[in-house]
Amino acid sequence: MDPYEIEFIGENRIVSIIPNFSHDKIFLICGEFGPFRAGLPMNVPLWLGVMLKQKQKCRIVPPDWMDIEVLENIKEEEKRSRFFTKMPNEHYMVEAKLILGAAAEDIPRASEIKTIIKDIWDIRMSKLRTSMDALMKSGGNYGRLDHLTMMEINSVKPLLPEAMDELHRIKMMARKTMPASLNNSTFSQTGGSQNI
Amino acid sequence: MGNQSNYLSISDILVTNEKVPCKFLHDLPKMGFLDPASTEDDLKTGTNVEIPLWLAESLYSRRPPLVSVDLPKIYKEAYREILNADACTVDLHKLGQHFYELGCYIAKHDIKGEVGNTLVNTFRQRFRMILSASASTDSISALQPLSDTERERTAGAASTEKALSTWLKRGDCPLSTANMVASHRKRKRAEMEML
Amino acid sequence: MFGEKVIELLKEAERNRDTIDQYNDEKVRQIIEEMHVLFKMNMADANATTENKSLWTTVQVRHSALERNKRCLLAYLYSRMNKIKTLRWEFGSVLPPDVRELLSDSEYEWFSKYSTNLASYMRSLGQDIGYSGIDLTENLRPPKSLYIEVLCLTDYGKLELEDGDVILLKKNSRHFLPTSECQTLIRQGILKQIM
Repeated sequence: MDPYEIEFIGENRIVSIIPNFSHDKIFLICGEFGPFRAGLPMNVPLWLGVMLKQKQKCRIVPPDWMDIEVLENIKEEEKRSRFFTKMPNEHYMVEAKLILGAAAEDIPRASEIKTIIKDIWDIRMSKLRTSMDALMKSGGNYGRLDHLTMMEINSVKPLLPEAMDELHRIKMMARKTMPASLNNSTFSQTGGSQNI
Repeated sequence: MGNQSNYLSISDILVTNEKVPCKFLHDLPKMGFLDPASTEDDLKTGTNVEIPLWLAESLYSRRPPLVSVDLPKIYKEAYREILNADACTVDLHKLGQHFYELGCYIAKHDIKGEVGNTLVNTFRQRFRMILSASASTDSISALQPLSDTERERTAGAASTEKALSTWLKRGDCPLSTANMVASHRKRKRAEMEML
Repeated sequence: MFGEKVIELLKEAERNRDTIDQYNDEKVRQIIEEMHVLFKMNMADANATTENKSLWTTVQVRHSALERNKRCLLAYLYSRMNKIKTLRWEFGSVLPPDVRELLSDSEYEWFSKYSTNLASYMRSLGQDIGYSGIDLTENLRPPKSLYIEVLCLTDYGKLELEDGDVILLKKNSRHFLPTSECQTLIRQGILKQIM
């Protein structure tokens, strides 16, 4: 999957904004939002919040987890643990990128927060690489992906699933004997399965 | 992508085109041309010759088998020892571009039954080479010792890596020309420049 | 050796994965010729097996070679067919002349039929909810904004917008257009999005 597609999925998460205008309820495919009352906090999807922010129609309320202390704790825990720790948000990178990109002024200590989120991401990515290698070396037949976010899982595709498929195939093929002829008889079974 | 025994897969066709050493167990009339060293019409019992795997399999599957199939040298004991000790030191681009795929086909001709294990061990050990090659900035030299499928896998991983780092670095991503359109334009430009 | 020419054909197709090459009429003809020769030899030898039983194996070996050639030719056509599908999605229903001439007549006929099929499928989509079809070749990336700024890369000519306005797309002219109305031209390499 393209990272922009994951961003698109992540953009449906709800964030809190404070609009500077008033407007009736709006009806969207993803639900009803509003009414908008100037100065009163309300919930909207991330994409809408960012769009309104870009048009200077609102302030974005920092999500609870976008806080130096919370993030420091997460970072320490992530360093200490052999496993992946649970992130405060399934799309923390998407949310961080969009909110800090469009509304840095609304987030206290935005640049420190940016750095620390990047640190957490880097720790997790390097952990992911190490554990992929360990998984292959130990010959494990499955890998646990607990607490990995969608963007992180996507970063090991197609490599990891393909490599595991291939390893499985080698194990199976090397064991059993081949069909008698290589150039006929398999046409009808597999002819349609190949794609571009 | 390693579609083994897939009738329409070009990569499987190229794998089964690899040559394997065979010994003929019976005379084969009018097939003397299979042995480049021979000038006779018929192929004689006892001839040793390297023929493509698909042909070897077809001759081997006759009852009784017309040939016995020997292992290509990369699957023999000497190389198996090196591979089992440290598979990462072996240049599979030079010695076995289709190492795993051909190995799967050839494993059944190994009387000791050790080729299968060597394939699995080699694959496991060399996975880290793919990991580091896909992150490498010096892509050419990192690819050097990899087999064909290892290279393909590396290319896949590298393009994921690239898409991710582009996403991390920039805001919106501009819409762009479709892949095949761009490639054809590029080729056309190159052809024009040559004229 | 059997089946060597056809391998050259496939290697050629494997080398240029992002572009489609000229349909190799000459080589395909030669391979089919080779198959006819094999078939005739087999007819003759099959008739002679009543006297000489050992010829039977020879017939079988040639038959495998025929099967092999057939498989390779089909794989060649199949891999081209997949590329031709991609052409429809990336260039659209009208191919530029220099791309069009790379296809054989039957391939072009297939392209036209595929194109028509795809178009009528897309027209049928969403009719139950009041749309008159959905263009599936659009919005291949999640849309970011309704309007974008574009640079024109070629002298394209006039473009009529949905609101009735007509604009002139000249080389190096800049425009601010609805994303939905220019993304196809971007994919076709006529416009380029400016960030």
